[in-house]
Amino acid sequence: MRIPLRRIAALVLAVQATVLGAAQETMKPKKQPYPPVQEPREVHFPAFEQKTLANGLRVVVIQHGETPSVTVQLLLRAGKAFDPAAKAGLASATARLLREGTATRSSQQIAQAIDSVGGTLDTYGSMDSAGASLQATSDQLDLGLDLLSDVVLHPSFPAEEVERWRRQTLNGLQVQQEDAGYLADAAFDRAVFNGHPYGLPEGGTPESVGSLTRDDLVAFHREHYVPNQAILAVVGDVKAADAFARVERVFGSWPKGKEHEVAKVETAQRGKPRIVVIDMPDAVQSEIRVGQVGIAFTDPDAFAADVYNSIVGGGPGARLYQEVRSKRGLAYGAGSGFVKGIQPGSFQASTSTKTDSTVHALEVMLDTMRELNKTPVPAPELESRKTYLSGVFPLQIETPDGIAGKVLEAMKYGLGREYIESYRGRIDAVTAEQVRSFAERRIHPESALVVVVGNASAFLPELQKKLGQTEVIPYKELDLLRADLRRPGKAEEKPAG
Amino acid sequence: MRKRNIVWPALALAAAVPALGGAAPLKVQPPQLAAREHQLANGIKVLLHEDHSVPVVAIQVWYHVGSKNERAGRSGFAHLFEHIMFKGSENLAPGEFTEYIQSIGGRYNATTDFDRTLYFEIIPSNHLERLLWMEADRMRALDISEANFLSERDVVKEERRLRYDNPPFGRLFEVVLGNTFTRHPYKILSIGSMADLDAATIEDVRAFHSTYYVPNNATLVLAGDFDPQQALGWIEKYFSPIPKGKEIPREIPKEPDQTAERRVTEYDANTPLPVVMLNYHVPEEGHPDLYALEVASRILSDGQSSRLYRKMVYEQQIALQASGQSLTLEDPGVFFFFTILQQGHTVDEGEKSLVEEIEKLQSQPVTTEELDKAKNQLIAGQVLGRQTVNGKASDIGHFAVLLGDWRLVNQQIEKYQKVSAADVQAVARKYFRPENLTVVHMLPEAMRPSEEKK
Repeated sequence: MRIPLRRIAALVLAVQATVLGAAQETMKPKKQPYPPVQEPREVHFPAFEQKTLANGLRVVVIQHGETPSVTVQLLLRAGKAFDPAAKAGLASATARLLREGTATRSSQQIAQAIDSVGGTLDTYGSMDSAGASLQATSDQLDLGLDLLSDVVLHPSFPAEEVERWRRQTLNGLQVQQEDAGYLADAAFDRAVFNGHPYGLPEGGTPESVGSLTRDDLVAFHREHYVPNQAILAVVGDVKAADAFARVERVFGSWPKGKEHEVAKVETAQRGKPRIVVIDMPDAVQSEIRVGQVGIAFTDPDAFAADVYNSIVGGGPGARLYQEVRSKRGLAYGAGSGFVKGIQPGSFQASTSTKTDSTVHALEVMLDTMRELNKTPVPAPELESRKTYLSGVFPLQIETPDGIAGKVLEAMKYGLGREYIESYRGRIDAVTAEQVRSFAERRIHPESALVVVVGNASAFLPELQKKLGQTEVIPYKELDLLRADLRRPGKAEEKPAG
Repeated sequence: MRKRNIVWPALALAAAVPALGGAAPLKVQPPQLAAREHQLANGIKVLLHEDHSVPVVAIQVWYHVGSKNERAGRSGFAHLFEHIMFKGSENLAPGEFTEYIQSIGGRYNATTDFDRTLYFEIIPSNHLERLLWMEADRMRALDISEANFLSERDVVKEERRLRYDNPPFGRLFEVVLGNTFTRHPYKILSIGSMADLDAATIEDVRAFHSTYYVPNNATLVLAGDFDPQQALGWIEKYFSPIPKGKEIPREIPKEPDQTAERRVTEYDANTPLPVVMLNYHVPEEGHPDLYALEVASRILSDGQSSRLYRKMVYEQQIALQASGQSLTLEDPGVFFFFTILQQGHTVDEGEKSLVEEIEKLQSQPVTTEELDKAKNQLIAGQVLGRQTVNGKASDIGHFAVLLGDWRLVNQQIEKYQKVSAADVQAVARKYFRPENLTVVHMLPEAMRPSEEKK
């Protein structure tokens, strides 16, 4: 009776976090020596076979027979990068509605078919891409491919389903509007990308969701769901020749379409910081985001960037976690990350802390970032972070889903097995000087974007004293479609206190 | 290691009533799990499952202690230890444990629930001996200093704010448990209350530790790439010197039988849409009725074709989510029906709709298609859950710790296969009775009637 417990586990279980990194701690004198470490077993990415169909669809099959299961993942160039500004949420809505009816199946028939075999079929939109993914036992591959290809190739976007989606999404947005963490991320993205669709909220806003039409969805699908910019991975208990034949059968007649490029993201830095406070008077915690535009996946600095991030905020061994949580107990978690796309994505550091320590935590975050721009990383710390980045490889390829994710990521950027296999070596080659140089050239704490969602009256004077000019927006007036983030027609209000 | 904000919407899975075509039984079965069993003289139970497909190994240390073992007024201790366990031991500096695991590309975490606490790491297999030594060090000689206690208590308070006090619907589960249980410690979340966390002293914390975090209350599970003979040698070498503790106290206040329906309405600033939860007491883990209740849960809630999703979310469009599922625990748990209403719909509509589905389960047998679908979902769920060494270790450990026999892990599907439509109807009648019910309505603060406004 495990499963129900797991399903609610997210809620019931308090899950742990961590502690101090050894790098900045004095080691205890050991009474016992460390026991030895054995010789590592070499591990390689599984062999894969690749084919391009006549219509341009790239297909990769990886045999992985450990459990009788199979994963199919399709990646399309159809993410929010192609959302028109006033239609934020279009890419995501198109993906979401794929499974709500096709030329030959109703929404309930699709649900019934996949549920009956205990599988899952998900369709989603993300930054550059939209995707469809299927997980099932391996005896259901034919059914799975039929369903997946049907929803991707022949969605009918029934008017009734569009309205059903609209009502549900508007209700969901109402919940998100009360979620400080969501508001912080959404406002940060909107501000950091300064109008580029990467910054639009994936799920849209009440205004954009209210105005999307069925015609919008049909047009977006026709334009962006094309095989010549799509990649399909089949991983699991299947034979390659067999899988290719089945894929050809369901996707072979998919007609080619127009190709699309993602608009350029402006990477020039502002000269000064932008500080945005979203006032939520009931909040007991402040959600803090600090960052800037980051790098593209294929940036030559990408390996140095991964090492840099692992030092500053990649997990509990990293500095932000140590400084904010472990040394000061200011938060449950603190970290950072690059989101990399076809174009440069964001670099963002984040935490959440009790209202009273808002400014303190923010200053610690900024100081941690400044420090790395000035001082080279000590050798032991660098070493431990690099071994972390390369050592995680075997864990990433344990499941069909993990393998499919890795291969699709590489293929999306025109890279192959060589990239996946050489990643560990390239990380290992990054030097302390390369990390410092990367930070100095590409990371700019002095002109960072700062977004804080919390009870502004309690920290605003201190924040303004420390960081200067601040934009304050009552959370009910946040408008993610506008550059000033504020619904038109309201003058800036000062919170009481 | 930021965790996603977890809110109630993550909980409800969709579900539905077929009638649109049947479900043929799957041709595959979940792989059977084999384990080698051993017990050390100090009481540690050891279970070893070999799997060499990737050079990684999952190490799990289970302590049979959870929030239900906490005394009244001292909630949150089991979870607090999750934090202190990473703060150093005789041979390990604060944070060294996690730093080491990270530096080798491993993953680690711990979870505390009502009945047990689980510490686990998944590591490249060549580091197994060293990690066993590190686990043994913190079992033998944990550093429970005042400083560690105070800093981690602050972190836990931030965790509580992050998960429960600040996000939408964050307080819901606390209200549900606090009203469904009157005496049993399941009435309090494992995170504990702010007041109890503030009142805790280092002496309380040390006493709790010396009682429950001892070899005779521990189960060690390894799954993955290792030689069992060699691993057992290391386990003997590092864990055997740890002295056995006293006998573990197992007296937990019992929940008295409920004799009349209870109703609670709460207004809450972090509840953006109205919520209804109908909560019924159900038996403890291992009880035969739970298999039919789990099948009922799948029919009600698993997938967009499930009954509650199809009716309330899809057809009536009154709900954002709707589900019925059980929280099965070592002592008698809860089966709860849950719905978040869409804007403009009332808790009365939501409750009426849920009650109709409960009555339907009681008055008519579920269809063969529904039954087959539920069983396929259970089988596929097990197949997919066993793709990782950590998933396998968790399955083995769960049955070993909570039911005393890991072999039960291989008997679950067979037990689900035996569930009939009549069984589902029978458990629905037996447990979903008004006198066994606690109704919780959570409403947005703005909906509070004006005479009640503070």
